[in-house]
Amino acid sequence: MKKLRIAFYSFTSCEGCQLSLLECEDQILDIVGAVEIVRFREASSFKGGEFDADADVSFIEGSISTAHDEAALQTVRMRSKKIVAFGACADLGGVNAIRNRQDAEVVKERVYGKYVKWIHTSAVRPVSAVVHVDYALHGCPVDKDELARFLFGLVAGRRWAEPVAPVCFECKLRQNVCIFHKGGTCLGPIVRGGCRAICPAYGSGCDGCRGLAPDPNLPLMRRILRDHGLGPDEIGRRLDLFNASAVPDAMRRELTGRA
Amino acid sequence: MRLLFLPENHVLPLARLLAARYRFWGPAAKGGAFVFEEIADVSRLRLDYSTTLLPPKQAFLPPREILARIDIETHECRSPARPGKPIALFGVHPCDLHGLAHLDLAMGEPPADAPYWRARKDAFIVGLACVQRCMPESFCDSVESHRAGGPFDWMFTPVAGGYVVELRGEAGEREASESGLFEVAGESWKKNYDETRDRIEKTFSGRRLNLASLSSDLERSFQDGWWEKLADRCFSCGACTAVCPTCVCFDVQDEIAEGCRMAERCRSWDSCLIRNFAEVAGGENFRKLRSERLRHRMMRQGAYLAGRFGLPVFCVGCGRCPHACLGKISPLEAFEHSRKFPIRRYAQRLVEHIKNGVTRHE
Ligand code: SF4
Ligand code: SF4
Ligand code: SF4
Ligand code: SF4
Ligand code: SF4
Repeated sequence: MKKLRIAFYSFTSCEGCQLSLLECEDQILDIVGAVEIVRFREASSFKGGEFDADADVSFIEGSISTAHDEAALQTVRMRSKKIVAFGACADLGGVNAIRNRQDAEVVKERVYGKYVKWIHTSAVRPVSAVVHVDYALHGCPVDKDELARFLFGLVAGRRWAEPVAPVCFECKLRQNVCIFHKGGTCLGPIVRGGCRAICPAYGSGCDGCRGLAPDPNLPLMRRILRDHGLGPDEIGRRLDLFNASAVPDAMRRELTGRA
Repeated sequence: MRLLFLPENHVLPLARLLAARYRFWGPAAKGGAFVFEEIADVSRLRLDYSTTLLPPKQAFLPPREILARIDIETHECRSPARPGKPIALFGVHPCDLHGLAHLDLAMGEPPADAPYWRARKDAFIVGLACVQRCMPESFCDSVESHRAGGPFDWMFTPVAGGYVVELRGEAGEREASESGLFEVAGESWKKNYDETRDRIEKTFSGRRLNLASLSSDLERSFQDGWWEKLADRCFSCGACTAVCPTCVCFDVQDEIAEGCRMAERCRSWDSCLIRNFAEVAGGENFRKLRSERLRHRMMRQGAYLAGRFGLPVFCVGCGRCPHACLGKISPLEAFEHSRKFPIRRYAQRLVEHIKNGVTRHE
């Protein structure tokens, strides 16, 4: 049987999602036994061209923030049968998208100082804003067990089941004490699960790295956050950590209570 | 009813004896709360616990379990063996005992659930009476599950200096006599026991429910617009069913493992509150709306399963779901509201529906 050819490409990101594959330690031999990895800069000594491989499935890490990113992504799309938005940056825009809500020139100046004239960037976009995306693996970073399950499922030709339940469901299964009951705040009730509620398990509220759950009850979340001391600005900032550009304006208004 | 006395300082030795013969589960502290879990070191046992985050149901129906492993090449199929020793559940509060009784009914309906009964069959269950309410949200007394009931072998009731223990059945008698740790309950213990039981009745005399008419009240309120209002306070997060001692719904998924050499048939808890629970092939969803899902759950707890098994109610009032629910939705509220849905409005709705040619949803 011909092995599934998979590739990993990285755009604007910290490359932490790629690292998740390497962290699959006890499963990594099974994974490389099941697929052929044709591009994976983070873990290879390959010196050839970067975006010139044909692949069955390409994992795109990172958001798209330059014209160069955009052109490269289009090439990858043409040479790949399936595209996976791999992690929060690719899936939502992620942390990088925070700057979309600030003055682009000011941000550039702050980051690059006197080199600012060499820098050409656009607004930060998720992969799906540039090319058609077939699957998304959520999270910052992606969950390594979910990744392994996804890969094995692909090889076996199984349909991928997107997690639907909000973070709270897994949080209960894990027997965490609710962050709200400890006096904190959490976005778990409106955020897509699948991460096994790792943040509440380690004592901090969910920040929404997996994006909003389907059909979230935003007015209720707003009321509860308000009752726990978060005003519109604070809710907005909380949302912006991973979802600055991922939530349509009307929904953002419902959640923050402000335009 | 046979009563014995167990001095306080015999509790741990007794737990140790059970732990040698059973997989020993009991309440233990975790992160500022309590959990029911398998305990290796019985000194972690906390019989002074209030309530646990998840009910002890997980001993018999784990949140996730592998039902079968299939070798993809040879097609050989194996059910993973459960560890040899049976389970002992120690210190189960009355609501959870009733919860187990309900679970037994649901999982016992033919065809009985084999993996559940493999774990449940030889389990030894030790109940522990509650002398005070575990948390403000609980309403065990409203559904009459604050008293001993359900499938216990021993029932502990705290009295001065120890516990009066009610023995039930052959296993209860055998374990008690083999342990040699129990004493004959004398007159003063019995008096103390009766006093404690009276005190329990006084403590647990909260709002009584419309148990006799609950299921018909609920079914009549099916068309009530109130469900939509209630759903404004719901996230569809499924926390309520996850913590419920009587919820049994699970999902079965086949997962590929070990470099595609094995397929694992896994079952994991599911929840009727989660959006895709009632979604079927073709994308059709029987309960697309949040309010439909919330209403379904309340009907399930107060009418559907109760009716199926001839009980007045299927909720044991443990209070876990209103405690977990960030919208503070409680079955008690829904049950009490159902009584208020006036017959007149019901008749009106019915007429409207007949006029519109729509038959009432049963
Ligand atoms: S900690 Fe967050 S995710 Fe967990 S139950 Fe509470 S709100 Fe939900
Ligand atoms: S709890 Fe929230 S922020 Fe944390 S990993 Fe899960 S989705 Fe991301
Ligand atoms: S009733 Fe409460 S706990 Fe249940 S799904 Fe709705 S919000 Fe979550
Ligand atoms: S419905 Fe709620 S209160 Fe009733 S038994 Fe279940 S978790 Fe407890
Ligand atoms: S709900 Fe009642 S029976 Fe259950 S633990 Fe609380 S007080 Fe005890």
